[in-house]
Amino acid sequence: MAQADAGSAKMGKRPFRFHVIIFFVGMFFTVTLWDAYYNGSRPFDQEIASSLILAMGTLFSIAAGLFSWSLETRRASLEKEVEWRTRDLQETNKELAKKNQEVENFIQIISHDLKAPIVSIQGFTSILKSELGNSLQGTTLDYFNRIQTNAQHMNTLILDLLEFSRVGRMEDEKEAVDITSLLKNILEELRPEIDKRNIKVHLQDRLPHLWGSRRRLDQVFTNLISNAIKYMGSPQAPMIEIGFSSMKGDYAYTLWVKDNGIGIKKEFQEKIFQIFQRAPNPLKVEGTGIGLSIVKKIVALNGGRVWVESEEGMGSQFFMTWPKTEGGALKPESNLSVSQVAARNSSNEIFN
Amino acid sequence: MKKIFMIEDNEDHALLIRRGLEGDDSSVTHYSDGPEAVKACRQIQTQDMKPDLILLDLKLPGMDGFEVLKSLRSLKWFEHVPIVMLTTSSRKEEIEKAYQLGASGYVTKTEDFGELVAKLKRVKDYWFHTVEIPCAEAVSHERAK
Repeated sequence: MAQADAGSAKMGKRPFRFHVIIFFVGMFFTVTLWDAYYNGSRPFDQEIASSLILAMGTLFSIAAGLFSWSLETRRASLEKEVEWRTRDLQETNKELAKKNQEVENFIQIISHDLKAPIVSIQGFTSILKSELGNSLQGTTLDYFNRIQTNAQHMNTLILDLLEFSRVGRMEDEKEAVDITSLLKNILEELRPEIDKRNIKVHLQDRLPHLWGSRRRLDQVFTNLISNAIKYMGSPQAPMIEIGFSSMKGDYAYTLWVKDNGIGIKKEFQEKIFQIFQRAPNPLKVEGTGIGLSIVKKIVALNGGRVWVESEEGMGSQFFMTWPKTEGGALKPESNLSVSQVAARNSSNEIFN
Repeated sequence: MKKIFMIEDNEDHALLIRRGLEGDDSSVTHYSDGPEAVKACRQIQTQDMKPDLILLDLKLPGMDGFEVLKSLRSLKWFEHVPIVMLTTSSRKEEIEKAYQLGASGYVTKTEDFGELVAKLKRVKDYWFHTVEIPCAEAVSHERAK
């Protein structure tokens, strides 16, 4: 609003006088012209011509006055509109700030108020356990352990929820991340688990550089790969394949992580991307169900999409699209919207 | 005997911390809110009456941990008393703010009680000059010699 005010002050508002003056200036020229004609020495049609000039001139002057007045009105109404829009934006900003504050308070509640009781439960349970010592046996000991396991689980859930809320709330620094070297690092870290299960990992050559936060991309691939490891089961030749496809003119790369593990039933293939939702697994793999929801959130925030193709017992292939961006700006060849890309990159069209 | 002041509104946590800390070498006085603690500290007239260590919860109702910290640091004998913050969330912004206001360190109230007790003992021993190496998360500036 301050800007709009400054603008109108600079331009100044033209008083109504101004438009009347325009009219009179017009009239002055008209009368002068008419006078010149009337007193001139035209032989005939003098009367008609001069009357015509007078009438036309008058009309023209009125029109000029009105036109200038209407321009002024239009300018004033434009200024009003700018003012309204600015006020609207300010309202929206205020609302956003309020929402941010609410989120901040919510995080505060999660990280403090929900955790505080767990500290108490765990504290008193372990004191009781150590005081009761050997007299704690059988079912009583089992129940004690269950209390502790549950409190621990609650704590993990809270930490996961905090991590989930952190994605997108914190500004992540973006860069062109070399996916090949990123994946090599991740695989190195997961090496013990991979070797233990005799998994063959195959990386496609010349994987692209993705524009994004290294930390978040690491999170995405670590989650996908460690899921592939955890839910491998025991196929004859366990393998994980990581690859990508990119067609010329595509807005985004499509990357995938494929395994030949236990697979996921159809009815859970969408659910598993929701926070704390897991498909029942015969392997009894522990977890809270946070990983894929974080993957989905990160990918979505970067303008991509994730989905899975899988059949129970036949392995899974997790796909994600990631916009081909450079320095945060889209490459010139791409003028598709994110949703168009999502629709175009749907699994059926590209991969079946 | 060394004196520890603990300012903690959560009675359960106070009970647990007291249990984890109290030993032959120290006594713990508990205050359940900021104003009460500041009032008690203000009444201290002699050097030897002042506490050797203060454990201050960050999230207190009414006057919060930061305000208590500021008030305590402005008191006559309290400029160099180690004030260690207790936090459940251990949020970066909170800890930074506490350090700026003169906190000597912080301890996260971990849900693992054994770990919490170990951390508190370590903090106590460090500030009572019985160990030289501090607990990693709990130190800001050098101990007063």
